[in-house]
Amino acid sequence: MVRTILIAIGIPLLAYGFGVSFMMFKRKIAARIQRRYGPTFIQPLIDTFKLLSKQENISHGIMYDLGPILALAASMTVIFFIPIPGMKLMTGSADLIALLYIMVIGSLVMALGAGESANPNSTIGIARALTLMLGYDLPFVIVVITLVMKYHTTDLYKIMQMQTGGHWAMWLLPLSAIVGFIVTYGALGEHPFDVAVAPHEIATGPMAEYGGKHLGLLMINHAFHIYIELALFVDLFMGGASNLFYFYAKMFVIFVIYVFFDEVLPRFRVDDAVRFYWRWPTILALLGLIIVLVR
Amino acid sequence: MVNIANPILLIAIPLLFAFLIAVLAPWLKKGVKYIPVIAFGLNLLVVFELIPDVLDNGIVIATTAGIKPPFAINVAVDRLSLFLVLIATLLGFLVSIYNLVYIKEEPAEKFHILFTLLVTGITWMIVTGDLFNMFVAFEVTSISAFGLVGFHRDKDAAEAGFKYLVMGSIGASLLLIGVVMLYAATGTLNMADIAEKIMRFTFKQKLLPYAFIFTGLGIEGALFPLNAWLPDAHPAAPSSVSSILSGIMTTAAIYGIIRVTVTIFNYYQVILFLILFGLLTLMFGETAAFFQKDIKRMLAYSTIGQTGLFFYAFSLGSINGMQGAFLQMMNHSLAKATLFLVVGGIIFSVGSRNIDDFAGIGRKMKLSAFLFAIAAFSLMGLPPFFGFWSKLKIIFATLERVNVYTIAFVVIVLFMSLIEAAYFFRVMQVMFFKEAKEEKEVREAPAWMLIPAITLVVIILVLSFYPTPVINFAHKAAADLVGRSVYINSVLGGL
Amino acid sequence: MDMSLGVLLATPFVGGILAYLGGKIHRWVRYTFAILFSLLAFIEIFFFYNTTVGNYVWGRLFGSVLVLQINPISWIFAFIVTGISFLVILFSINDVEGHKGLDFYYLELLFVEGAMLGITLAGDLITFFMFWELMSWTSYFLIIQGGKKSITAGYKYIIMSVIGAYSMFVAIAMVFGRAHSLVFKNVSMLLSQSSPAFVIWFFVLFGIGLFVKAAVMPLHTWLPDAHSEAPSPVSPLLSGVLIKMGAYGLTVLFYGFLSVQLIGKLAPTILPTPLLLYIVEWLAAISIVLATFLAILQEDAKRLLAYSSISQIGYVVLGIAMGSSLGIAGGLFHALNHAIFKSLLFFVIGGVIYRTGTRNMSELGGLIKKMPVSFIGALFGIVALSGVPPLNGFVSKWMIYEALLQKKEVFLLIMAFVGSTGAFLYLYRFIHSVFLGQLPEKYKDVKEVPFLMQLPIWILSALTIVFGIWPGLAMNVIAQGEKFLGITPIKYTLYGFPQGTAMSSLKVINISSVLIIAFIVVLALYLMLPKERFVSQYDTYAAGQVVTPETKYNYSYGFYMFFGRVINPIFKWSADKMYEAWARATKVFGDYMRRVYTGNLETYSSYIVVLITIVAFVLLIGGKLW
Repeated sequence: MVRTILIAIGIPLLAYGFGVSFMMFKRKIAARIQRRYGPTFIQPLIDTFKLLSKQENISHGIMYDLGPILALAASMTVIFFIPIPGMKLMTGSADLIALLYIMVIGSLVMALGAGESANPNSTIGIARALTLMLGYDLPFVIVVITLVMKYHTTDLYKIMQMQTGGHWAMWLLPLSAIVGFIVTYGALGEHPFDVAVAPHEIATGPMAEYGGKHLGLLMINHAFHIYIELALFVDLFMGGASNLFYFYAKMFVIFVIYVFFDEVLPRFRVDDAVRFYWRWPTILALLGLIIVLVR
Repeated sequence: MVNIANPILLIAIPLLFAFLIAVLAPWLKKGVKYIPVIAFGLNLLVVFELIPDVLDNGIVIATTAGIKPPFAINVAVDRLSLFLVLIATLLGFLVSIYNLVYIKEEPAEKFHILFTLLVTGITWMIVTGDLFNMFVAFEVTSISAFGLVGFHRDKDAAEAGFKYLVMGSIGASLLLIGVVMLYAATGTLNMADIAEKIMRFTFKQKLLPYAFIFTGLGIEGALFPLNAWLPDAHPAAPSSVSSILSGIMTTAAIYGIIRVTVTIFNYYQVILFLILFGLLTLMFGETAAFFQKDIKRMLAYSTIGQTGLFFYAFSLGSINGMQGAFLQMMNHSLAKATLFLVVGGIIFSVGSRNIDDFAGIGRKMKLSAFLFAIAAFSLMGLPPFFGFWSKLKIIFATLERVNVYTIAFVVIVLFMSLIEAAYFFRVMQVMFFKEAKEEKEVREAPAWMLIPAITLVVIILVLSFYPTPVINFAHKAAADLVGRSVYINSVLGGL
Repeated sequence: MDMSLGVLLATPFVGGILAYLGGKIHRWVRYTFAILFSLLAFIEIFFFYNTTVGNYVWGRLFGSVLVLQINPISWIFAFIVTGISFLVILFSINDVEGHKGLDFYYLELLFVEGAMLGITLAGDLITFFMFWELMSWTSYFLIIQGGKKSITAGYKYIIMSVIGAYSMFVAIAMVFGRAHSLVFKNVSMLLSQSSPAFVIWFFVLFGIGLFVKAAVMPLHTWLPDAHSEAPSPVSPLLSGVLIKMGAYGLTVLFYGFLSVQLIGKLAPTILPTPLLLYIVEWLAAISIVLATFLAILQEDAKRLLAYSSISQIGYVVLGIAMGSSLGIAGGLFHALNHAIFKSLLFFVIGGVIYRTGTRNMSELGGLIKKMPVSFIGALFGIVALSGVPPLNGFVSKWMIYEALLQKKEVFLLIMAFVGSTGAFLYLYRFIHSVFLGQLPEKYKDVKEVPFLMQLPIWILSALTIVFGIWPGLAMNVIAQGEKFLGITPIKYTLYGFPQGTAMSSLKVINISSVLIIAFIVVLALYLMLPKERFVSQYDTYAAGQVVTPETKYNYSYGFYMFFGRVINPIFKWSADKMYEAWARATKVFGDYMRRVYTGNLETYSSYIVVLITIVAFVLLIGGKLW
């Protein structure tokens, strides 16, 4: 019982720790690529704290308030269903298919919150984000199905276990892994798939009206988000990990590659992004699926 | 005690009254219009008296002058005839009530004479057991119909009446030729006797008289391609006459064809030939109806289509098919007569026959519109109305044997039903849901014009919710007809 | 027990007639009868919970008996019919108040309910077909009461319905020709002994009739018009209930008349599912995807929901056609769920139309502050529809996905998933354009809908939660139904599904409780932080501009225009255009046909001569016609 409670408290803290550390590294690495020194390492933490403690907060209505709250709550829910080495609590209650749907709760409520701010920039950002989601969902679903067909289960924990000992899905299903990588990339909203935020066009889109403690919560949420996407990728394609250190290391490697891409690529227009996703990643994913099915 | 369950009275009473009108007209200027009502009221009584007899014995035969058939002119009412004579008398009675108010134009007394003769002729055609008498009845019907179609004395009516006159006369002469040929071959005019004697004839020998009789009756029975007079004549006639023409006259002619084909010639196996007529009539009638803007023309074309439908069902040649045909005849007679009566009332109030001018009728003439809707639903065969059961039966009868032909037939029949539904729904849309362009004072039709329609609708509704007796009766009628021996033996067996 | 089925079926019809007559006395007499009898029907349904009444003979016709029956499968649908109809009547009272012809309206409403109830209770094909046709034309009269455009929509609806019904009619007549009895049991017996060709014909012809009603592509074209143009309270009935009759018919056709084994025998079994069912599954999947894409591009809120109905009914059909226990259960459950959340959404938009008078989404906005209850209803509706936990749509969609995975029908699964993601797009568009964003000045004084119109919204919202967290409640009946159909019933628990039912286990209550706990934690954190202050909707970032009440500062029109650019190539041709071309061709052909009647006496006389000549010719060649 005590152990359960400890895990229940531990998982979110751990996830936040991982996520926020990636945010720290990102700013540093980005700065170095651009030949800057960059901010302090703990700058994201400082920012979050500053925003949360702001005295002047504005609100456009109840849904506007609930948006960030529910988004964060939903992200915290998701992490309980993603297997973490040594901490198994809820993974039996929801499988991969259910997880895909739990993962979107956050984005949807956030979209509702941003909608109430009565700012067209937010709405445009959300319209783009949802469209992009439809774009990358097609290849991603194919990839997920490929994995399920390969391992004959939808239980994430079992999929992870079956990859132990170096039998990573990445090696066995390279095409799917590549697509999975591209899709995770889109889900993270980094260049070239950052149309939803696009600070220069639509003033950071959904976040345009948010400030103060709301934005603070959203920053925490962002840390969770990074963690979720990376952890899912690691669990699905890199066999999870036997302990937390390896887990972190694997996520870190993937993350660094993301940051490299992020810094050098320009931005897709949203319809081009959808077309892109529906063309090459989809074809690759289908190839991967057919190979699994035939074998 | 006079036995009034005598089918001869069915002819005698209205004939008498028709002459009575002529005689009394100079004295009873206003009163003559009640005479047809009395005549057909009495007829209705006779028919009701006949019902138990026919139900018990299957057939009631009456002869003239106390001589036994085949030498005497005889009248025979079997189940099928009863079925139709009941409808004919009922319609005659109700429509003559309708005429009380509807007929204002002079010469009213002539109208009433012709009308009485028209219905008498139809009744006669149905009950007669003698081929020559059928021809005479045919002539009585046609000639009074020519007069009634031209009753309105405008250009349209004259043209329609003339067309009808020419074509009807051709039909009558063809029928006469056919009858004469049969007489020459068999030496008798009694239907049962001919049927007995003609059995020895070869197919080829029988064919020519049959072709003439079929064509002659087919002109009156609105079979394609002989029906071209109908779309002109039915709309041109006063609505009450249209309802008789559409409701029962074509049906009576088809009855003649059925009687000749089955009872006399024993031809009903020659089905595909007749099916072709049925389907072509159906197709041309319904498609043409779809394009009409004039409501009475639309209904007239719809009559052609319906005639095709029940003729088709008859020519399937099976007991079930004929049962379906009889049910559909009944449904069509009741529903179409109602439609013409109601439309007559609406035209009476609106002053136009164009469907587009009926906008908003559903609100202003609620009762009329309601009656129209029920009758139309029954005609289209929507459940739970009577037409649904008859259409069900026809389709079931068609698909007793499933093969390419029957499937094709069913597809055609149902496609035509669809077209029929399409144009009736269109009319109802205009009536119920379109706003009138200009506010016109439109009042409900007079009560005497509504009562007949209400009665018919009530009958339709009763039949809709309690169809089993009629369905069973139609089945027996069909079985008797196909059995032939009941009719022939009873007539020749001489009671 | 036997008689009570007749009583149940008669209830709405009697209620309709009484409401009609009562309306002549006073409007509240009408309402009392309408509410009372629709509620009565709903209560009577519960007497038949989990019971199977074999045959209550109510008539005889053409040598076949007419039979009523009830079993758990039909119970589910009867439950939907009576429940939603009751709410529709509640909702109607305020909504259509003051319109013309209200007596007739309630009569039709209750008759449609009765007809649909009759379909679910029918125990033989004549009864089934009779009520099927009755439903078509009574609902037609409901649809065309929605104003000018609805007349065209209704015309299209009735024509397509009649085509479908006639197709079904042929199938029924084919069976009657052989079996001379149309009781369901005899039908299935006959079909099990018939030749494959006969069974395939029956399947296809009967199926077309059902597909038209269930709006499976490409026979869906009546639905977007009819559902969007119908009066507001009728749309929930159409979308929530009427199209479910197609789903019920399909269940009966696939597993009542036929069976998976029997359908399997008709064609070689190289596929995971029997060929006929596989084709149905593909049609359903295509409906899901295309209708979703079309819904994304709509500007009219009700049209959007109508397209969404096509896509959601695709899931139902997909599930039912799968042939596996889990799939059928998923399909049936989704039918129930769709009835709940789609009716909810139509009620919400009905309320919005009632207050604002428009359903054009780009003219609306910001109504959350004025109509909070409607917003909550819309929120529950869209969350349930999008298949996101913890509401009911999630469970049924999950079941369908898992069933597809079990059968390895991966391409169908991909399409189902894409449809589901697409649903997020149009649902967000729906709720945002109506309730979020900027409130137009002209709707400053809009009020929440009256209580009677809120009631359906509350009830249905509660049901989305109930069936979302306790799917076992519904599974209880569905498992019984599957047993009745002769399929291994699925294993279930109150909160989800144990190991072995699907690919993995599911416990919905865990998901929702984690979500609720997390929400409480975050909310506590939020409340501890400094308080926020409310600002007006004009106090927004506008790149230095000042937003005034006159400024339209809202993003609502052409919401997904960029997405339209991606998918427009698909929609260059449409089924609707094809049908219109057919109709035109038929019309032209018919126009030529009617030229036979030239109006010229000479022509007519020549017809007679021609006929006689033909007969003479026949005589000449020997009297042989064939």
